[in-house]
Amino acid sequence: MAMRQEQVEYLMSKAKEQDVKFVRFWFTDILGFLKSFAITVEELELSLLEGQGFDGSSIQGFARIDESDMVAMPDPNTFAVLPWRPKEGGAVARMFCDILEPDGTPHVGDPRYVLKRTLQRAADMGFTYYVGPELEYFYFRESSSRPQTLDSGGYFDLTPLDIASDLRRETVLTLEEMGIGVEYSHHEVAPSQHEIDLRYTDALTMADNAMTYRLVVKEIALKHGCYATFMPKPLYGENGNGMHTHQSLFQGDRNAFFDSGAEDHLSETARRFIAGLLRHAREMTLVTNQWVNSYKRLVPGYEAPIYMSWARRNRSDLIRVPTYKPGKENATRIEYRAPDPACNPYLAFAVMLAAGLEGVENGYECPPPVERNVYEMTPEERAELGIGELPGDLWEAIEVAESSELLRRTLGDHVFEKFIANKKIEWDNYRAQVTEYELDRYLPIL
Amino acid sequence: MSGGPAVVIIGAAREPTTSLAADLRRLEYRPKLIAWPASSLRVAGARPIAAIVDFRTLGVDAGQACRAARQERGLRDSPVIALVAEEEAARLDLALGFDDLILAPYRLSELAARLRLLQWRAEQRSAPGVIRAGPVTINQATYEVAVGGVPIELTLKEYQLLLYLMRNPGRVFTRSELLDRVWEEDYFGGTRTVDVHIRRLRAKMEAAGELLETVRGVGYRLVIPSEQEA
Repeated sequence: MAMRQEQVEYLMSKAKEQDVKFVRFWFTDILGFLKSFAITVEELELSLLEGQGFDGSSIQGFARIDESDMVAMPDPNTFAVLPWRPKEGGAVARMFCDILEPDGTPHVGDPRYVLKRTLQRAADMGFTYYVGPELEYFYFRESSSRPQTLDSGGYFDLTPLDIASDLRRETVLTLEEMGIGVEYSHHEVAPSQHEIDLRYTDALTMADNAMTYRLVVKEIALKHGCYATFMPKPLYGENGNGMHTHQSLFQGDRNAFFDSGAEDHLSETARRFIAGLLRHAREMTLVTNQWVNSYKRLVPGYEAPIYMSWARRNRSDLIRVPTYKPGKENATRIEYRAPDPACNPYLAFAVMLAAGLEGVENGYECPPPVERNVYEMTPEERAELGIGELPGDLWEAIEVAESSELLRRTLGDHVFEKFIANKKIEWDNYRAQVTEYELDRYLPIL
Repeated sequence: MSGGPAVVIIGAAREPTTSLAADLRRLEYRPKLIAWPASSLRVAGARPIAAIVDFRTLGVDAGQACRAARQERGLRDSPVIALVAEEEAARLDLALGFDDLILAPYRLSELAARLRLLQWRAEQRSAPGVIRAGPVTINQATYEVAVGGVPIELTLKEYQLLLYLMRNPGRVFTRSELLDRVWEEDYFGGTRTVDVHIRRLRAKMEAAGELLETVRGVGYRLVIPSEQEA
């Protein structure tokens, strides 16, 4: 990507004006961990034009055999000063980077590239993909193995004298300062559980924003001596952390999911997209829910989805379609409720989009919505309605993913193989453990 | 060969397009006729003040030529003018992406006046220094944006969007036009992204945000402040 001289000059002058001394180059490994290295502002101009070389051999999922030289090419639209860093002695800014080979071609292990490729596929079909994720998280007193909550509040509770409200407020202000729009924020269902909803935007910007969001939430918590976590299920017996993702396709100014003529205002495109998500839900769960712990959240009783159905009002389903409000056709959207906020957002958005597009392209038929509570049905009733189940644990998810042609095509061979291999190791490590649960339960009786 | 400002003509290399070139030379412009279909619209030298698409000789290919002109980097800031036979004007597809139109047969004085206006605008744009709209100023040399003398911090895209609107005051742009002209070609967001940026700009500009007017069902324009008072 050749940068226009005007952009370089603009960023150089901003860096000078805001007394920026260091610029952190951010990118993401395949598991969604934020990676960063810093350059001094003196190097910025050249890096903006040519990128910055680094050794990528130790980045999870990047390196192939005998190749480690990579180039981080900063995206000029992502320049932002980090508000929580001290300004004395020079401020610190960040830019998201694309990872390139030394010859300038995109690196196949770069999750940002995986998403871009899928967005290109949508663009070729005439669509723009917008997402609005809701990332939930917990505040704990520290990151020890025995999490202690900060409050005992519940959903939408306004808790007085509550440090968490201040933390949330400061987090929202920091995000806004970095140019990330916030829709609203509130206390969630479990004690000490919170949610800040980001205002919808295109999926690439949103994946960058989600990475920034996770860091900002943690930084602000740290500043106040506590710990924030996006772990999918940190507390047994309480709700887990989800990342419900609202999504829509637009054709120019027109919401492709809206049809004024349809009885429920859902277009054929929307129905096929839903059908695509439903049909490929099991295959992509490994990406949207990538940890052993993710599957402790996907159990009955805690508002997390298990059964693969869709509905309008019902909130127990995998897909919810918020009710249409007159005059709000642009807000017509689909909410996919399986992902958790510990996923890699680039890969998660890519696989959800790919699954939906698969339905649109191949004209999948959408099953009827299920307005009954699927949890209260008998297994026979569910079978009769053709309602399947998400994988029950990481191993099952690996097995379905491994045979998914769609997943391989969307992630590309390189990321697909690295990702599956990594997850197999995680599963092997986990299954060899003797857990506290087993000791408590079996030691006294066996 | 005259040394005046360059004007690109996209058309077929025959009458009446060739007389248009002759007319432009008479007005002391430097016409550069590109015969369509062309593999490239790249023009050497200074940026042309306009690209005239001659619908009279292009016929059904005119739409394609407009789009190509729109996408050519070197013509990015050059307005695309449709030159259309008077009797075709009523049937003209206004969504082809041109910025203005001239009806043929044209009068030489009209052609001269329009080009003078475009040239003036181009000079305004390239003049280093400050662009103003009401209380809002952009210093193009230092990239500083201020409202009522108080600097405001904009992201790169917010800056580029505001600059584009302020360089073309009063003109209405559709969302997709703004997306084409301000965002990179490899950008994957759609027109709603423009709404998001306008909203953020308005918030940062506070009261002066009113200058960014939503034209319902169309897009946006920067209101010329005197017209706002009227």
